[in-house]
Amino acid sequence: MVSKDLKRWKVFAHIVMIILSLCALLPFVLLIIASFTDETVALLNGYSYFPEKWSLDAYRYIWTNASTFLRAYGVTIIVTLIGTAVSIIITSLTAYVLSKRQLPGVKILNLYVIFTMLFNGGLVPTYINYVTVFNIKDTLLALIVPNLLMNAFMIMLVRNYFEHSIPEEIYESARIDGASEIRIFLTIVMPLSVPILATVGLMSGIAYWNDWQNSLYYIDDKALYSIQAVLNSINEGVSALASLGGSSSVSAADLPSTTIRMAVAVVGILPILIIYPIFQKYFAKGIMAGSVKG
Amino acid sequence: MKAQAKAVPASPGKKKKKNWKHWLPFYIMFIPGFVYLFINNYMPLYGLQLAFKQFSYQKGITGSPWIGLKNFQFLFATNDAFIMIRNTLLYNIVWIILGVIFGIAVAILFNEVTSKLAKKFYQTAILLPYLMSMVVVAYLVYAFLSTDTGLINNTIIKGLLGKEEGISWYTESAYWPFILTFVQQWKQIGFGMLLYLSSILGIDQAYYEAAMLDGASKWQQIRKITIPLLKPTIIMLVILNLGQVFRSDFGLFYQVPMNQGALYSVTQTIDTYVYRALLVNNNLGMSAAASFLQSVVGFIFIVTANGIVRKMDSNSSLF
Amino acid sequence: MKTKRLLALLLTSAMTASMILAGCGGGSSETSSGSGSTGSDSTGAESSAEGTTEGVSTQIDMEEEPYTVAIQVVTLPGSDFSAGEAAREEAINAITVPAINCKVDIQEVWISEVANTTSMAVAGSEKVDLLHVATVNPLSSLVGSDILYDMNTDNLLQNRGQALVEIFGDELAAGNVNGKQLAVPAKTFNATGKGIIYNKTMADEMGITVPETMTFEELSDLLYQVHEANPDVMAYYTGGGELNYLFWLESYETFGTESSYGIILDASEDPTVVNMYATDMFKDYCLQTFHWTQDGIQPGDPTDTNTAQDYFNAQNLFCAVASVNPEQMASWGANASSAGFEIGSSMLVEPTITNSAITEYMWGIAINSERPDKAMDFLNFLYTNAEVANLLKYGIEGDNYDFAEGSDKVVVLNGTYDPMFYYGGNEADMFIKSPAGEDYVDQLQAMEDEATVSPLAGYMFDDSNFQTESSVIYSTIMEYLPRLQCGMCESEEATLALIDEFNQRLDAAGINDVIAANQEQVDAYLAAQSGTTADTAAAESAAE
Repeated sequence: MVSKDLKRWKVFAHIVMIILSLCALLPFVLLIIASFTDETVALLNGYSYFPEKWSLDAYRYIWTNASTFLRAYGVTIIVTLIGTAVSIIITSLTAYVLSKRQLPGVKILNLYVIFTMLFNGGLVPTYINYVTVFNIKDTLLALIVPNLLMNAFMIMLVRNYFEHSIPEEIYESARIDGASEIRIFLTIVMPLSVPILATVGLMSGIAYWNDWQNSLYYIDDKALYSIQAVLNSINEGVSALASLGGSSSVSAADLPSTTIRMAVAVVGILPILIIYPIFQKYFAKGIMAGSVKG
Repeated sequence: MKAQAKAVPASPGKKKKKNWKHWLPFYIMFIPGFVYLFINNYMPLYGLQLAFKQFSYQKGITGSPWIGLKNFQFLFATNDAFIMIRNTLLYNIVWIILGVIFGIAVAILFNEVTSKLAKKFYQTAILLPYLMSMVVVAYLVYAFLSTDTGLINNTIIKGLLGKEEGISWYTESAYWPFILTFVQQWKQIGFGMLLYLSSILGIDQAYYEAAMLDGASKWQQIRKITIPLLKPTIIMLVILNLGQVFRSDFGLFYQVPMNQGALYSVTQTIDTYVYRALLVNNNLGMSAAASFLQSVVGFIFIVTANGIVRKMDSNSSLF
Repeated sequence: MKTKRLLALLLTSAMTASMILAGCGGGSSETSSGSGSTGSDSTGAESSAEGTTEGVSTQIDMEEEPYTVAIQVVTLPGSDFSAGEAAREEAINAITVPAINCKVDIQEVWISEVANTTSMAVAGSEKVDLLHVATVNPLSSLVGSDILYDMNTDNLLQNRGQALVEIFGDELAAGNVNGKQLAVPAKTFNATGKGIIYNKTMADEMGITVPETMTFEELSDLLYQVHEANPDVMAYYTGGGELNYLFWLESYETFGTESSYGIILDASEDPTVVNMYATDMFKDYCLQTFHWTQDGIQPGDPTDTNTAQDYFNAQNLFCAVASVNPEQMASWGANASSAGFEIGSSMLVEPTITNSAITEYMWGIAINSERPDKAMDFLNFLYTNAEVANLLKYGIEGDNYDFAEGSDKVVVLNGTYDPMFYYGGNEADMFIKSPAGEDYVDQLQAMEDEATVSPLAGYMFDDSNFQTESSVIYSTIMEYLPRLQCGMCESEEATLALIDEFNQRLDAAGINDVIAANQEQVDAYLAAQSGTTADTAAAESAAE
């Protein structure tokens, strides 16, 4: 009985997952095909899965700027690695403290964190703060620190996990062994929290990878631009010029076409697609059970 | 001695007073987060006063003259005010509910898949839309919905249904609540699944093993074990989302409907209105005013929701 | 109760933080503006001692440490010319230090970022002096803020910008808003005709001759001819319809983005400001576009985001609106020839020098500039010294460009430096960018001589009291204009009904108050322009 039920669930799960995957993949495939579509064909007939004429022009355009792109990739990779690592550490530390409901004053600390989700000073005051008080303009720190390092949402997510998914007995048995709080956190809590830390790491990693605003605001030196900032500026330039219309003295000849924008999107996403499946093992089932017993 | 004192489990019922030495490490652990939030979020807060000021570059934020509520006027200057507030609230509330349902459902189903390869494939695929920028999503939606060249009109409506005329998607506002909802869920589902998946992975397998020994069906296990154990996560995510109830994803409401005037009645939200209104004069005071209003409403929602939850189940409340 | 206390605590801590910051920010901005004013004060004292003119000294202080002027050079997004920047700066400094005792700091900015960068740099009291007041960051959008330094302070423009005064003359007034000189024109030649550009190769194949000039009705006839000759070709381009194409097809003076602040139909006859969208001209235009869409002349698809250039290159478009002047024709021509066809143009609006043409490219001095006088020195020098102007615009010979064969005027860029949105220097003396030929400057001059100057060329509406109205008006225009231009309604009646609805919304947004204020300023401007003519104008407007 039970095994039949299980099997049915499994089949159902696969069907749903396949449908969802198709929903996600089909537009992505269209994106890739669009980036290989001849510009004139795309202009007149729109995008299709079977374009009448293929073309490598969009990638040729990107290739001519290869040095810019490679350097920007380098910046993004460094920033993403450092940022994600620091983000995981301080997010989990903060969340761990907040998960201690008996800690005197924990409610104030909680409010301190949640308040930041609701109110913000706005772009210009934040900018002035970082640039005039902390002087981080044109440094790698400017790509790592502002807005991305930690946010209340992730803290709450991790706090929730610490509170509800790690049994209180584990802490107690550790304390009986005389372990210090820092030690408990590092040797017991962290290993037990791999699924949530992987989630935070992934979210933070994607946020760093996709970020272009910090480059835009805090970086003047183009050598420090992140990949998404470079890609985004290409798109933005198109709309900035479009708003100038026929009054612009610059002809649209120098603008990247929509197929180039598609290629640009592909170039921005592909690296994540390569790295993500490797990262995926941390979401594997059973880590929890294993470490509790061990 | 110390070890003995701590050996007593700290059950919520009877609190055992612990001394400051016990708690000190926790306060130290909080320092990095405290400092970061202070720098990143609290120090720029003085900018809130911009909402009530006529900003002057020469005089700076603190030196600019106060002008009362004048910066808020543009938000309510047209009949659009009702439409944009209605749209913002309704879309958000519907999406919060759908997000919970789909997020949990997909996370549970994903967890049923055991093949490692299949898992990798599904999870990567489902997360794909989340990685795309709204600009690209807008192009893709256009590729499907364009009146003349769109894939849906050309293949399904003209091809399969054999109709002569395609649907003019971008002029018919009736379709857009559904299109926007579909696009939003499509883009967020991978992320939503991830949020619940980590909680599901955190559930002790022993519960399920025991249930299976009792002959519980999968459906019973989900209803009796998984969902109750996910309750704190659900409540937390709903409360947090309620804080953003007056905000909206600008790209989704602006770029995806291609900024079409005919669709404003269902696509105008506070953020798109503010963007359009400030395109010409880029007035810092007015954008600060709009953001301030969004924060205040979010604050009211979050405090109310948290209050209700605390009354019902104090352990699940956020603060 | 508890929550309240916590909130209070949070707020106080936030306030404390604000105080700290306020102290820093306020302090630094004060010192910078303070040093600026003391600088000019001292020079002012000097000049009065010399007894030459009032305000800042006309003499440049050659003794002090050379000041570095930061100048924005706006480029196409994705480009990075930082490699040769130091060499260019050095070459310029070699000229400017002995001549005007100042150095230059080139600040490359992508056009997509220039508005943001400028506003944050000024708000954050960073080093900026000469601002790109143009393209996406035009004077009209900066008037409401005080981001720009008033060049009339201490007679700065008169005393230190003699070359600018000489070159631009009356056109300087375009940068003068309510008595404040916020910007000066950047381009030497501002005359432009308006009309259409068309695929001449295609016209020849169809056996259609397009006259040099035409009227709106003739344009419509032409489009129908083209459509008849080849129904597969798009006769006319509208794109998304967000820009008001009527601007290129009829002659009128417009104020504000997309005529938000009204238009004057015939400025020389009757300077009455009216709501463009309530005029018969606009009604007729919308009915015409409705028929164009119905008859397949224009695609009528407001979701179209492709540029006219895209369709031209795909050989699928006959014509599109454009500014008609030698610069535009050179750039369109170059593109057309690479796509394999010849471009032609036809004017619907005779060459004029209007406010919108002059204000398209301007220079301003940032309010937080430490030394506005040195910024002015550099700007003034840029328009007298072609060598410096060429260095900024084209770079260094050999490194960035070579001369075209047999010419010492026409340069061929090699792609290592090409700041597309930078205009500075007297074009009459500067090099000419290929593919334009040696007669390029003569062509520009010819059009300038031929052009009529609008009586309102120097007028700019001060909209600082209408920030709310302007934002609501603009967003209303964006809601209706694309649909009307793309001829999306089902019938003539529906079109007229939509125009009515549109105007009701504009009225509710307060367009009439803005127009009334605009009228007042226009009258005052015209009165100040010349005593006698102003009297009649005032009498006229009073009579109405």
